[in-house]
Amino acid sequence: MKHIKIVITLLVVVVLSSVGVYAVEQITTPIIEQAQFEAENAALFDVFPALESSDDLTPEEGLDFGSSTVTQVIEIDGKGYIYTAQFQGFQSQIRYMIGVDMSGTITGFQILEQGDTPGYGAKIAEPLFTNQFAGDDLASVGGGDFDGISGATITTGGFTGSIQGLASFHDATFAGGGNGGEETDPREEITSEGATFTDVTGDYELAGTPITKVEFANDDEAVIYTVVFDGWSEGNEYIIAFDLETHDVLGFRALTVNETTGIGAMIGEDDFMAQFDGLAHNDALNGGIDSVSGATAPVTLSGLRESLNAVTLFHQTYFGGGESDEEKLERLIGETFPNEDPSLREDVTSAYPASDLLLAIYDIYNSDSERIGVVYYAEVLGNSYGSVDNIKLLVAVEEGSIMSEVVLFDENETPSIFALNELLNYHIANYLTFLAPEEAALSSAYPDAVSFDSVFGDYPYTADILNIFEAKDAEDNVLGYVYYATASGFGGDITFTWGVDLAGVTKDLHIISHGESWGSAYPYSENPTAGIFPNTSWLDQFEGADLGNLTIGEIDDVAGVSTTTNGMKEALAFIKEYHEANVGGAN
Amino acid sequence: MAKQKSMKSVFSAGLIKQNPVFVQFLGMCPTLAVTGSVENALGMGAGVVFVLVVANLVVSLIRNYVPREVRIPIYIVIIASLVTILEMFMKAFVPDLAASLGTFLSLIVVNCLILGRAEAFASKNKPIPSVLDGLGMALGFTGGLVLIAFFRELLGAGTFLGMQVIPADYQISVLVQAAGAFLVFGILVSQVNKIRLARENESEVA
Repeated sequence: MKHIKIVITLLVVVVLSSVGVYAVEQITTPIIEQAQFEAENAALFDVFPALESSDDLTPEEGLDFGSSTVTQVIEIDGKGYIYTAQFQGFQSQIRYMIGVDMSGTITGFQILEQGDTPGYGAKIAEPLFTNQFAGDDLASVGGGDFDGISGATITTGGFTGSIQGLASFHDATFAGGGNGGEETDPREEITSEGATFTDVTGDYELAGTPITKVEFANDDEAVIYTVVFDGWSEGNEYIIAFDLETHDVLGFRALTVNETTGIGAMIGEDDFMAQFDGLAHNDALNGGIDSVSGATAPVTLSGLRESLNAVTLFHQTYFGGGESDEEKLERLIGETFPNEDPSLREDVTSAYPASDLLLAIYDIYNSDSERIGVVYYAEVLGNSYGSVDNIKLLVAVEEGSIMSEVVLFDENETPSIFALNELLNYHIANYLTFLAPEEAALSSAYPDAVSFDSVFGDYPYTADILNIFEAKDAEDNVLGYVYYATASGFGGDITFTWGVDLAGVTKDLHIISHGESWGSAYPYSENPTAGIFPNTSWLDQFEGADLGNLTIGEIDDVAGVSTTTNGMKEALAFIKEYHEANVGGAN
Repeated sequence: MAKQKSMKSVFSAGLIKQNPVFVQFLGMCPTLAVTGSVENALGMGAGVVFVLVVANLVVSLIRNYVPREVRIPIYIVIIASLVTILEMFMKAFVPDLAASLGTFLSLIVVNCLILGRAEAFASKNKPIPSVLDGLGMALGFTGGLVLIAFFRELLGAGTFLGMQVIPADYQISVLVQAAGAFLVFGILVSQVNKIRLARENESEVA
């Protein structure tokens, strides 16, 4: 009995409750619906003040809203459009209505329904939020140009996505709304007005390229590529046109920009796109585009440059453009040696030993028939991670110096340091003639010796030493070495020779030339009244000293002429180190 | 007379002595969530008054027919129905308030205050005291909500019932945020306890 009572009581309560709820629902539903209908129609007038009661408010049919959150569009003939859209807020579906006039300007905005957190997401329905839109451009609001709700990231985020989708739907469906369907085709903007376009995508192998579409403008005037690339976000799309005669860029238009507003989204801005107008083919290949409007968007820009490179190379493959290697070589040599007389250039490749690295060696002359340098045209291993690529480069050497310039063919690669070293050694071994001072300068540095032989070629090259000589006696026995080098003084280079015997004891330090004024330091001069460098006792400290015990850093500078003494100390310290590591150590 | 007095004490218990917000700590969720403005607090309070009074009345009326084993499910069905009815009425007649209370309106269902009073009082008392108890508790709840909301709205948003009182530069905006609810609530509880305990001590001495 008890159980039956329980069941019956429960049943009765549930039924009565349901009846009560049902009854109330019967009463309130029409009122709620009426209120909602009124609110919605009031909203229509609210978001579109130009609306008149005679206007047809029938929603448009047969539109594909795609992935946008748009649920309904009412086209007010000749006046504009009223959209209704719905998106997921923080904890409720939020419905809103927005009016747009024929020029794409927002006429009003209203939240129809929301149930987000009071005090947070619910603020989306408050005037502070809703009133900000009227008068704004739908496209820019769709691009995120509005104030969100602080503390309600999810609600704001949902709205951002929804309005963005709505804006692009509007743009796509009603032709930008801008000129009521007279918006010019971006392809025409970058080629010529009224041009005809032929889709030839099927004729090309696009796999492995970022290109999704290839079109010709007016048959053979230009080619337009539609390209997709990933910057900070995925799926950015642009079109770029190349002139089929000059192969330079005609123009660029961003079609879809998913990048961050104010940062990567700059690629869709007019002043960014303008830099592509007439961009030279080679600049397109080398990523010669800049960020503009003060935006720093390295990720976006590098993604764009990469795709641009791929597109340019694709263009070269099928349509030509760009320089041949010969043209490039010619141009690069010209840029490196502006004084060259090209008619005197001599291919001297065969005069030197063959090298795997070298494609050619050229002697460069000026118009006075003086040789001003040499160019090594080489193909070396690139430094790329993960891929083994040979890259072409020029190493230009001005007469009397070492490797004044390395010019890369492909600026996106760097050569391996080993390859450059090998080139350098080749140059030193085969080409370089070391400078030599007057015989007397060598004798002054090593008075006991009678003959001197250059041995610099046997040791590691360094630009800080001009030459190294073996000092020999009359029987051709090696007594020691003489270093020929320069130090940087106050009045220019100080050229000197410095002897050192086999035991590591220094001989004389002979100054060959200098531009120093030693005046204020006269007390150190051997001739105090004259006080002229280099007749100074200061230099004596470097003579007859055991290199092993000579701590150059501890030798005092001379007050007033510290630039000179410092320069000398640096140069001598380098020689001491070099000698101990190579020449002296080798013995 | 004795009966009269007990009616009065039944009604007043919820207001101060057993205030659901500051003493019993019942229905904390709406207490913290909808006290951002006095208007919301009043709306919430009105809803609770309706549900609690009617729930207490109904529970009291059927108290002698409900088997003990299923009393809680039955109370819940009743409360849920009442809340649904309330929600529909509010949406129909005061849609703005319903919209601003959002889901917290539906959440009255799980407000322990309602079920708590049904179980603790209405199921054991006659209809009239039950209604008085419900009214007292609901008003006490409303009062607590309004008090918290008053400070949060005034100091946090600088407004009272939507009217600007304090200029923006002098507002403590954290008070409108969730954390601010805890701050204000904690301070108020401490003050209410201070007064209450002082009173109890007094009465003991007396």
